[in-house]
Order: sequence, then C-alpha cells, then structure tokens
Amino acid sequence: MKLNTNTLILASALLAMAGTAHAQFASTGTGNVSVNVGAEASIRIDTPNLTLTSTGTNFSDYTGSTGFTYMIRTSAGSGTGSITLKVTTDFSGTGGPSVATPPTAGDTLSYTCTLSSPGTAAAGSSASTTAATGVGTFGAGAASAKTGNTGSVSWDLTNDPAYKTGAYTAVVTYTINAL
Amino acid sequence: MTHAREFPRLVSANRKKAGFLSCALKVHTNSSDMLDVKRRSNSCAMDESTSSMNREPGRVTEIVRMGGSMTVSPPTRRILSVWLPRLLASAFAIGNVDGGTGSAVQAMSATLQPKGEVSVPSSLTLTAASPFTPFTGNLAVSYRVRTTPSGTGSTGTITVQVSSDFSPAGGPSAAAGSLTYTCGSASIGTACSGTQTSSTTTQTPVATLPASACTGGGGSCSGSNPASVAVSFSLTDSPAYPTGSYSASVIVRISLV
Repeated sequence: MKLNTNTLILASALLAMAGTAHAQFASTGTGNVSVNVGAEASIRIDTPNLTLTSTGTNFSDYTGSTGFTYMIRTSAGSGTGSITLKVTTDFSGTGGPSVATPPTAGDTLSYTCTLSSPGTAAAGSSASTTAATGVGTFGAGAASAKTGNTGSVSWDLTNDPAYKTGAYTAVVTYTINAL
Repeated sequence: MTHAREFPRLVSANRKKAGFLSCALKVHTNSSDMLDVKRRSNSCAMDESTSSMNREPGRVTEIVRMGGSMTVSPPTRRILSVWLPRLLASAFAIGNVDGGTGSAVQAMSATLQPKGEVSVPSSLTLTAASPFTPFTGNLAVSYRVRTTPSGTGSTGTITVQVSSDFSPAGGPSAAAGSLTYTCGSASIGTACSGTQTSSTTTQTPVATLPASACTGGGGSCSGSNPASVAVSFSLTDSPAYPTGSYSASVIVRISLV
C-alpha cells in the first residue's frame, strides 16, 4: 500500500512536470492548440462610391442604393448585434445639399434598409451627422454565412431647386458590432 | 618493573590523584606489543607501558576509559598490531607512487544508433488579428537527430497529427479541414512546402531529415542544438462557430527509417 502511494505521488509529480512550458525531448511531442472564439463582426461596402441620381425633370429626389456584405457572430444567451450608419462628412461645397444644415427646412437624406437573415432590417430614417442611425439588428447566437450575408441601404436625397448646380460628396460610415 | 595486571589499579590511583578522569586514552600497540596509555591534560597524568618482556600470553588487559572499562582480547590486539599498519601502508602506497613511468592501453568503443527526439511547447493559443480572419499561431518544434551515413538508407521525418480534435463540438474542426499549416525553414533537413492540411487520421509532413545528419557542434553537423522548425498554424474563423474556447491536441513525431 505504501508502494502504491509512492507511485501515485511520483505519477502526479511527473504529470505536473509535463505541464511546464516546454516538454522534454522524446520521440514524440504533444502540444495543446487552443483558440478563443469570441463575438465578432465585420462589414464590407460593396458599392463604395455611389452616385445618387434623379430621373425626369420634375425635381424628383436623387436616389441610389448602397450594397454591403456583413459577417457576424454573436454570443449565445444574451448576445446582440447591430449595423448603424452615420454621415461622417457632410456634403461638401456651399449652396448645395446638406445633412446638417439644409438650405430649406425639410430637406433630408433619408434611407430604407434591407437585411438578409440572420439580421433584421431597421425601418429606416433620416441620416444624421451627429448620431448613428439603425440599419439592422441581430439577436443572440446569430451567425452569418461563412462568406457573409448581404444588405442594402436605399438613399433618398431631397432635390431642392435651391441647390446650386455642381457635384457634392458626403461620406457615410457604416458600423457593425456584436456582443 | 610494572606488571600489566596492576594497570587498573594504577589508573584508579591516578584518578584519585587527578580528581577526575577526563583523559582521552590512546592505545598504542607497537611491534614489541607495548601498551601506552597517554593523557590529554596534565591533570590526568598517567603513562604506563608494558614491554614484551612483561607480556604474558593470554592475559587480558583492562583499560579504564571515561569512567568505564574496555577489554582488549589478544586476537583483537593482534589484528590492531599487525594488520592495521599494513593496511594503512598499502593505502598510502596506492596514492603515492614515487618515480617510474607506466602506461596502459585500453580499447574503447561505442555504437551510436540512429536517434531522434522532438520537443514542443505544451500549449499554443491561436489568435486572430481582425474579425473573421484566420486564427494563427506558430508552434516551435525543437529536435535532435542523428542518422546513419548515406548509403545505409537512414533518413527521417518529422510529422504532425491532430491527436484530439477541437472540443467542444460545434466549433472549429481539424477533421473538417479547418486547421492548416505552413513550415518555416528547418535547421536540419528540408521543411515542408506549401500549405498542409492537418489531419486527425494521418501524419502530415513537417520536415524530412537526410542521412548523415547530426545535431550541434558545427562542422558536418548542425550549428545549433537543438535544431528547430516552425510550424505556422492557421485555423479558419467561421461565423458559424459558436463563441467559446476550443482546444485540440497535436502530436509531433520524429521517426527514422
């Protein structure tokens, strides 16, 4: 019985030594490869340079659609995710359209969304230079396809006759996050 | 003439004279079988001897020591007097050779068998630099190898195999081909080329080892000891993997053929 106890102690010591940083030399070596898979998300804008256009001659609004592909993984249980957008650079130039200070009250840059599963599209709203607005949301345990899933934002910019002619450019930043 | 039989009484008388008996007694027996009892301190004055003329065969001499007594029988005294000096003389003779030159030749041989050993870190964590880019990490494989000279057919390989797939289930899987690797340069031998897919069922190559390989020391051997080769793992980061920690075991094997 004493011998067995000693053997167990020796075996325990050897096992403890086996867990040290670099194992001993032998004909084989075993290592544990581990990875922590966390909640994460990424988005790619498929139409990085979008030109809004107006059809007809009746000051119909300028419209266009931005396509994107997203990848997301949210945690099980209480995980969540979202996609938002924000006008980070207002239309350049003077006398033209503006998100922050339109020449005429009521002029807006608004949008509607589509979002494929597992996301849920937001209803859409007017874009802002001060606050991020929703494009879509994700629930717990959401996982996109390995190659990603798609969505789109359809833009509508008021065509105000007060706008001076010219080319105007704004920058919109899309953000996706996952918890 | 002092008689040995009177010795205890002399000691006893001396003890009374000195008042105590804290003497370290030495028993000397010389070739004339003389017995001396010498004092350590002046307060224990005593020196008695018996000459061979006084020795009586078969007599037991009693020596008072530290308040007790010790008997020395004739056979013991003979051993002390005859063999102990000879043994001591022999011991000194061994370590003290005076003059002369000697030489001896001994043939020595050793048979070195082909051998290979590997060592890998006990753990490796794969990480991703950005979302949904592969998890990556480098496994440093250290090895020592000795192969036989060319012509004898001894070469070797270093391989890797996933001995235990990622767990828990539902996440990445080596069996599904999610774990690949490339090899860095090998100190000894030729590292694998291209992207290899790790397997749970077969060993996949890391390096091939040539004949006449030896590790360390430079010259015809490698300069480094141990030799090394880096295995850069890459694990697909699929959105479909549920969040969590996953772990697999890989076994690196060196074999000589």
